[in-house]
Amino acid sequence: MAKSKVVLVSSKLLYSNGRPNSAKLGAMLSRGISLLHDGADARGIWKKFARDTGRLGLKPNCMGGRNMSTAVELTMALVSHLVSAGKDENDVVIWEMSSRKLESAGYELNVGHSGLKCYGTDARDVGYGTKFHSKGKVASLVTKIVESHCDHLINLPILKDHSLAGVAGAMKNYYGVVHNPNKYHDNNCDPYVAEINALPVIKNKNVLTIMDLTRIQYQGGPGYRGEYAVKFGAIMMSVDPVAVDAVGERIISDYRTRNNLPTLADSGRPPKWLKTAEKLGLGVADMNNIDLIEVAID
Amino acid sequence: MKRRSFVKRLGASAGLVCAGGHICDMVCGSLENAYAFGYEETLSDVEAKYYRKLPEDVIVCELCPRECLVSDVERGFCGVRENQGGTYKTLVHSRVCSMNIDPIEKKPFFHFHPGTTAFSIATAGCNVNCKFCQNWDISQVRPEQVRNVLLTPDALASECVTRKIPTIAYTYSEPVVFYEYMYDAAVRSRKDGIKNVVVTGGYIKEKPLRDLLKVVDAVKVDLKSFSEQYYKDIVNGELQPVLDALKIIHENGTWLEIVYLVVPTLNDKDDEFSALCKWVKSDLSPDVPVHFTRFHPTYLMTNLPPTPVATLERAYLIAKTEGLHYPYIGNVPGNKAENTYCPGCGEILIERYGYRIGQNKIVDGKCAGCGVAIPGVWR
Repeated sequence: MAKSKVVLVSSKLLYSNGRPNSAKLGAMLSRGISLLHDGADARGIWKKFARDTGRLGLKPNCMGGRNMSTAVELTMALVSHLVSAGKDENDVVIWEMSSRKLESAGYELNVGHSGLKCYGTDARDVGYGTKFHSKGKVASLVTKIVESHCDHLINLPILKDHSLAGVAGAMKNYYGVVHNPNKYHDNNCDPYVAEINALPVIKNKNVLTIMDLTRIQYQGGPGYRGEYAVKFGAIMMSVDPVAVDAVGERIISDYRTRNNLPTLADSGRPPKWLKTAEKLGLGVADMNNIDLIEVAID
Repeated sequence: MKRRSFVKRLGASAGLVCAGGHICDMVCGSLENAYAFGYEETLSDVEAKYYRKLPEDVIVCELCPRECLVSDVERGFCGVRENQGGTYKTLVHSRVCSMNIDPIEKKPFFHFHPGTTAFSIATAGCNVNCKFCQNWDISQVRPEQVRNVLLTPDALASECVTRKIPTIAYTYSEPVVFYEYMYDAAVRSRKDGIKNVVVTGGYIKEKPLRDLLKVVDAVKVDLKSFSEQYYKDIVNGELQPVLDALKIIHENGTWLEIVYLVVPTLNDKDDEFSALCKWVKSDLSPDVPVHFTRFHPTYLMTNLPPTPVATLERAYLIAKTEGLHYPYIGNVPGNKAENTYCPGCGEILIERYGYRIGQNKIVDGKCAGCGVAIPGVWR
């Protein structure tokens, strides 16, 4: 099996005034995308992304409000790279299940026809498609943002503990695609996390995962609990969402061990869906087959 | 739309019902049309009943046998009950997404005030996920994905009194998931002499069920199969808790009728009909009406044909052979098994065509011909 490459870029100087620094995140993104492409020039890669992604959807995770959602600074740093590389901002939409979630995480809505768009599936004239999508027992309608508005997607998850799934990371973030996410939580979300990501409308459109590790939460999720949230000061990038979540699981587990918390398995919520995702051919879950490149920048 | 104008349109639009009974273009709103304008502000903020708090803001819902473990900011399987900072809230109290004035026969209740109407209401949400659901567009969605109307228990009772509608039916989706609203509305409307009936899958835990039975007058349970495997594969639920609920309802003395939707190839074997009827006779009573109803392809089961009438007639005959007194065939207007026959003399007591009533020869709860008592709630 070919190894999956995951790049983790960190910086001790990421935070200023309590928030992650946008310029620093921009630098981390460029370093990360370069390493992901064997050291190629970042500007060239952003240009390729700008050219090849058509109408592009960016999916942050905004469940945790301002405290534990994908940092606006990270999303906007990515947009800045893409626009600088020639992407028409009219062709970019930052989206979530609801506009309220985006707003609660600090995103500025734009449901108009011009400029960078930012809205939820519940925005006027959006909604869900009419065709059922299914890769298993549960069938769902899919947001029109994914089904028809966007040609490609970049996933911008955060990393946190989840009381049922064990870990909420890249693949769990796409629960926001379907109209009935509450039907996908039985059996520790297995095989449901994998099955949602196996929907062709996700699998074929998602081109990159950029996990926001500026803050992580290793216990008490998915709601925000400050006592378990830490500034991790990093981002993680890969084209393999399973590998990103496998590394994410390792990070969460390390923090749990360090803080004398039971393992996810002992807590009754091992992320079994990682192996299921690997079996479905969505990526690599075995750390032995993941090429993790870690770099720190000033 | 304001509640008043919404309700005014109700009567005028009674002919616009779809198969499940909701007024699609007026009330439910399809997912296609769902949009955000102010809708989230209309979701309710009422604390749910029947849940247990765990550490770190996690709760366990104790309303239905699923017993969802729900963390902060998450919802249960039903999609209409949400953990908000460790307090479990119902989002659909008084938030009605579907309503209509239906014949009571449509529920169906055949032994409960025949020929009367029921003010029938639903909210979004369901605690199972049947692949054949006729009303999936309200049962399998979240409350913010349909258009809701504010209809408080007071307003609901008032509408019934004004319109002289004797009964409220909690129906269409799954009333168990809007339990708090149903309970409050039943308590309130009873003060005005209004009856309350529940149309449910019966997937509910004992305590909330027993509490509910104190305030409602009749329950119709959709017993979707007599097989655990079917419940697992097709319903996404469990059979045994439904059987337990049926026993509790019957033992409580609340009027009970059962519907069994016969789905071709999946739950239409003679053995299963027979086992079901034997169980009803032994564990409930031969007097409990059992309606064998016709399946029509919809939702995730568009690959199967409608149930052949011959299959339904076979089920009917098996029920009679097993000793049930009141089997019926449903969704086949004009079939003679829509009628109620006297188990004493065999005469037609209530003649039906679809939801319409013809002659009714039940007098003071007895057959007008031979005097045999006919179980039911007749007045």
